[in-house]
Amino acid sequence: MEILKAEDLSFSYQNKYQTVHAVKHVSCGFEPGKTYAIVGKSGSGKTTLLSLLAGLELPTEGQVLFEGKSTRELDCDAYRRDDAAVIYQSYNLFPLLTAEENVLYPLKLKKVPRAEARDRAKKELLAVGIEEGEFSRFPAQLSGGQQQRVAIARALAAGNRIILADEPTGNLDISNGEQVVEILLRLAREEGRCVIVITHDMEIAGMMDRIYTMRDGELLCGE
Amino acid sequence: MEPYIGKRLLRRPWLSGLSLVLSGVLAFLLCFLSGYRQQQELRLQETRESFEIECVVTDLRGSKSSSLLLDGEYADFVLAEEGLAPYIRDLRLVKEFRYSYEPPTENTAGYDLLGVNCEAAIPAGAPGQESACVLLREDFFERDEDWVLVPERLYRELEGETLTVYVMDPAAYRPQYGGKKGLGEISFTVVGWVPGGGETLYCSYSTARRLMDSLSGKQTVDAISFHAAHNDELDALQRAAGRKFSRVQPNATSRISSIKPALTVYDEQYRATLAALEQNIARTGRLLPAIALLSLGAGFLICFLATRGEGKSYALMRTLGMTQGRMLGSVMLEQLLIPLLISAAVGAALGRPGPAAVSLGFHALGALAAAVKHVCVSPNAILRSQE
Ligand SMILES: Nc1ncnc2c1ncn2[C@@H]1O[C@H](COP(=O)(O)OP(=O)(O)OP(=O)(O)O)[C@@H](O)[C@H]1O
Ligand SMILES: [Mg+2]
Repeated sequence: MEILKAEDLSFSYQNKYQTVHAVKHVSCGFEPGKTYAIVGKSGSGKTTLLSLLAGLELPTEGQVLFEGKSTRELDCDAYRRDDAAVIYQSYNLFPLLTAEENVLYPLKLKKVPRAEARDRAKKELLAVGIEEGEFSRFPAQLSGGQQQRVAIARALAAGNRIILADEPTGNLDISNGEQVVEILLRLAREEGRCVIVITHDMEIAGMMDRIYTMRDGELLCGE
Repeated sequence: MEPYIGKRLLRRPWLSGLSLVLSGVLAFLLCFLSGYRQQQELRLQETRESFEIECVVTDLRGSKSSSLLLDGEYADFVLAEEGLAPYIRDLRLVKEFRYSYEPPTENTAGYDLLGVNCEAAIPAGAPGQESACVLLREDFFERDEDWVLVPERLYRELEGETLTVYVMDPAAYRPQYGGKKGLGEISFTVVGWVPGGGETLYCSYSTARRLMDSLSGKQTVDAISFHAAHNDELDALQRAAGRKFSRVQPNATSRISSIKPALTVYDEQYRATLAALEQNIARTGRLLPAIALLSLGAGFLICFLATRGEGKSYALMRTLGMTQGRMLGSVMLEQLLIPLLISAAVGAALGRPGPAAVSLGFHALGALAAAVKHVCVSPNAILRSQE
């Protein structure tokens, strides 16, 4: 049963001089408990597809369905708060808040009781390999890999069932990158979350259950 | 309460400090100046209502204000409803007689006996002396009785007793008035005293009228002074007075001058006070909006500095599912928390919540103007900025 689905999805950027058709007639589905890689050349439309899936943009044609409901009708703010977490290549954390506070932030938005929120934050931070001594560090005092893991812990603590990551390992060295990918894979296998990762790294893509390849805004069916 | 507003503020101590100082100073200035303005307006109103503008009847040259020996019609005019009565208050009338203890001869000059219509007509004593006279009862001026105030020294001997003197009315010796012998004997009850030395006695104006009738058969008056009743109707007062009194003419010949009285209105100080107050009010009137504008500017500046580098944080908030409205609210709350607390404190301390709220309002407007631009970020900005 697919939790997220793209149906004949198209999107174009309109500016003064031209119209860029960044995504063209893309149809694909994503199931819980599975991992997906989206690969493709630079400019092929991967990030655009991701922002459509996250409800950050609305499609010009076709639709994105979350549990059968179009993002056009969905309250997209609530959708991102409760269901779909976006993880960027960098800058995923509030610089003025500590690691723990960053994880607690969405829980506060959801008005999760304090004690429960702290428990959940602690559990998820430990689960992604952040030690208790590092909870009170600010993002600037964490390594890139640690920052990405804190961002993942935040998505987990908030209970988001879909994780959309745009080159989450792009800024990391190999070992840190592997660590992050492993965590993402584990999330899908053990917790049944749907993980969608954009990557340039074919080795990482190879570890995913399914690879979608994009070229010039179109989706070539993968393995 | 939005998450971590307090912590975010504390972790940017410089900006928060700037916000504290600027909004505190501006709120203080606004409260203080509006208080000052209100006080000046009150003083202006008070001055208009109760400043005592002294008006004195003088000779035509304006050099003499006592011993005028004016015809009684001038006093009547001042007292009459169709004369000056509607325009004046605190009228003081003085009629001068001479008195002596023995029947006067050509060699005895005698002393002054002044008929006065109220306590204020008695010339003030030495500076610092509270009142010009000490009456044993307050209502003597209303009593139809021949009483007299004597110098302090005499009072100790004569307290409660009767004083009999010979009284002379100078009017009787004026060719145009003379008709009676001008001299008589009268017995007064001693009811109070006047501080200081001298020999001058004071009796009531009703006694003076009776004395004039019997001594010279002519009502005259030697000094007339009063205050304007309505300070904003000075022109009407001058116009009404013009029917009977001239304007002061410093160059008039002494003969004419002694016949024709003039009215001098001492309004320079009143007008200067009004002008000064009005100028102060106008100045603060210009300063207040300037300070409100400064509040606006401060709100804008601080919010601009605070939100300038935070675009990505705001995009992140949106990514985490915060609605645009809530985010604007959150940013505004973060921006206004310190100014709110400080202007509430300043408003309470100076007892002026209104201006404090105005200062906060302008600060908020400025902050809003700066916040809107940064808050309307698309979360996509982060995705894009990485490419
Ligand atoms: N804001 C925009 N306005 C106009 N065109 C845009 C805008 N953002 C992206 N594009 C264009 O849309 C196309 C797809 O861009 P997109 O960012 O989705 O590619 P991508 O696959 O993520 O590339 P990369 O691997 O470099 O991140 C590109 O041709 C790009 O130039
Ligand atoms: Mg991209």
